[in-house]
Amino acid sequence: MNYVILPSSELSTVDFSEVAETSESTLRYSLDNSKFILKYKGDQPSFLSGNTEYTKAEILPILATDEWTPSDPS
Amino acid sequence: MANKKISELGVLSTVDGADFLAVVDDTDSTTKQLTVTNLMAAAPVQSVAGRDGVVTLSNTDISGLGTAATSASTDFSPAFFSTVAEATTARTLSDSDNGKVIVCSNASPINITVPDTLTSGFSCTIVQSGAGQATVATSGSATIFGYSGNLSTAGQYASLNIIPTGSNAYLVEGELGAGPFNNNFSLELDGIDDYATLGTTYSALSGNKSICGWFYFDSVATRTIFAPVGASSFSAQGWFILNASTIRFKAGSTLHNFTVPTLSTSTWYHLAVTGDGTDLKLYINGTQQGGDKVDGDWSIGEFFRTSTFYRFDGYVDEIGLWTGTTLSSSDVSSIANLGAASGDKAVDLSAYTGLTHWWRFGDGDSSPTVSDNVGSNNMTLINSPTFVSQVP
Repeated sequence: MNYVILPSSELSTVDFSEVAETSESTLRYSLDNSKFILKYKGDQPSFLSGNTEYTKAEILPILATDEWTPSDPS
Repeated sequence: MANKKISELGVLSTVDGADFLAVVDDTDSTTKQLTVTNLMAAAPVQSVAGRDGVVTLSNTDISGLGTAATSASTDFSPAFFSTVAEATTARTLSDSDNGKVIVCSNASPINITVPDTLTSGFSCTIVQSGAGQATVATSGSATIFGYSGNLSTAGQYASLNIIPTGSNAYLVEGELGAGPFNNNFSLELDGIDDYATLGTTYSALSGNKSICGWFYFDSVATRTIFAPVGASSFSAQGWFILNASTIRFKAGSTLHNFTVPTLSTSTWYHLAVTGDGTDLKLYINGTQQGGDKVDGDWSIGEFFRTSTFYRFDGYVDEIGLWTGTTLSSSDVSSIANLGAASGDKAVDLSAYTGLTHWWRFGDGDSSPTVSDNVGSNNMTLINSPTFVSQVP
């Protein structure tokens, strides 16, 4: 599986038939809702052309930042 | 027929055994007589296709039936059926099994595989002569169905028949029962955007209640097991891994931290929580950890995320929920440890009294739905987490 991060302004361009997510309402957004994540198997869908592609190992550290995850709740 | 010269004979429309056939001996040109019966008695039998009447077989030289049957009443077995002794726990059928009775004698369950390479029309009978239940499955493109989904013998001395219903399609019938418990799949979650939902939140689960499941962590950073639907912050969470040595559980309005032995990645753990309205207990692999906490109401609606974050990263399997029963410590220990040492640790939760919901994650499920095998609260997978063959 490969992942991309898109700005929320591009939500209307998403072709949900070409990604693993099913709708806007189930996407994972950054804490300020300015970005969201999409994932897909195999070749990058054409509507995502030009966006940086991440593997799971590459994107997990990004998602661990306080842009995406609240600080340790303890 | 009156005496006639040969030149006066016409073609007989029907022939009687006593009728004479005239033949000419080419050695001396004399005409000789031969009855139809004499001729048939002397001629070798090659085919009876298209012939009417009784066919009597001699017992002295019958070929094509294997070892000849010499008496219909005393010796059917070599010619008309044969038994195959099967003492192992796995057999893949082959064309040589066609028409035979396969007698399974093992004390352990035996799996009978019907491959897609059998010649069309294959059939056989399976007999469970031992204590081990015989279960039929297919491989390749072959399909098989049984009444009420049952594909196993009901018990010792039960039998089932495999009947062809089409090309590589079969039906089993006979003394069928539910098969032995098997756990072949778990759910893999990516820790990024995968989660599952019940649709609505079970809120105010009060009094006696229990939940347990198998968990394999790819990460032991903060990860959610369950939370209410629409949880907006960590304070709304229900049950989650806070870090490698702390598991948090919300009961009532209180977030309880259980200090536990350090959790490792890439290891299956059985986690359980029980509450009786007074005491809240956490168990890891059947052993209570972190001491007693104060129980309160539980709220369960979504699994594997809180709000948009704390996504579960790893594998999950066999989650059971009891909404009216507090499992005893011996029950929890049994669930965690009764199974095999590895590869088949999970046990049949329906054997534990009071189970109200059981999500098996891949065994009998069709994504994106995870069936509730006891109740009616199916889980829906979101963003394509996958069923995989990695199991406890």
